[in-house]
Amino acid sequence: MALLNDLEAAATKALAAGVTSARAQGAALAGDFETLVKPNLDAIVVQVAAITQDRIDGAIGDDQARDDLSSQFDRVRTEALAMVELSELAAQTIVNAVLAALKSAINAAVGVALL
Amino acid sequence: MGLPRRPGRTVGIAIVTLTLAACSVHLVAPYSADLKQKASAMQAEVGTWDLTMRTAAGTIAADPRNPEVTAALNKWRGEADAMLTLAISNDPGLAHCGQMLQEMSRGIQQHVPAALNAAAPPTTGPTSPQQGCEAQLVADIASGIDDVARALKYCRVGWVPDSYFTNLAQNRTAAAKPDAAPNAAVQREVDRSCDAEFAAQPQTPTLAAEAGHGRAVAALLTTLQAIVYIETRKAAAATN
Repeated sequence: MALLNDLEAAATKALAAGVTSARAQGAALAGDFETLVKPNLDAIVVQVAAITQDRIDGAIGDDQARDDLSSQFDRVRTEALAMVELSELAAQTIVNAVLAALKSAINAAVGVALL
Repeated sequence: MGLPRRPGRTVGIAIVTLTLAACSVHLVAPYSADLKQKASAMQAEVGTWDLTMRTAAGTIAADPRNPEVTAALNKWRGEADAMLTLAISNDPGLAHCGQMLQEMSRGIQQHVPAALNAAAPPTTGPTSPQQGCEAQLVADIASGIDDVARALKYCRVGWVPDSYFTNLAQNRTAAAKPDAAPNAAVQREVDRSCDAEFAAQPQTPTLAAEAGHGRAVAALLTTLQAIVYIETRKAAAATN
């Protein structure tokens, strides 16, 4: 069962690599939220307040206010799409880190660069 | 340090490694320098155009019938088509963007006040399960351009007839000066409604896509900013 033992050791190393990568990706995603998503969500709130004020002041009519609000709500979907894409990129990076560690460990077990 | 080699053991490991090699994970489209460059260039172009429109609010230069305005929007539509082709051709088509988006949007909508929620369109539009979220974002550039076109309705100088703009399209230099507004109140009304679309909000966070720009281009700039940001992150991930 030497092969099994070697593969178990390789899997343990790979999981450790995955945990390290997951921590880094978690930090990166938190940074993405602060840098990309939060400023735009805050900006949407600013715009919605300005549209409401413009309507109250009579600078714009009902139709324009409705169109402008609709356009602002489109932006929420954009931020959601961006965050999902970035989450998938993070997941891809973690899984590939695990696979790379596994391959590396197996190469070491074989003694040649099989991959 | 290599382990003692036995034929059966090596063959077993080889089978596992070959299986691993076949299982490289591509959940998202690879980094595209071309897509990033095009989105970034369009971001700059839209920002510049918005600043020009701000000074033109209430004049024929900001009227949606003006051939220069039409040309700008048509150029962006062409660029959006080119970007969509790039995005779709790179999309691995594995991620179920629509499903993940629904989960996230449900969470966001729970925090939107009920009065605003009623006025808001659903934040989850139709998404193809075969399409990744970035391809969906790129497809949304077109709706951002539609938002700009919709905002421009409120810059229409209604007292100037269509024929004036038709003549302008045929000969921009020889076109006569358009009529003035029938009265100051009419001029003020279009000034205010158009200015509302292009005036920057000073409280806007500096990192927001439309910082320094008006609400007419906010949705379009947000989409373009997201694409550039994602591509930059992909480039960084590819080099790590």
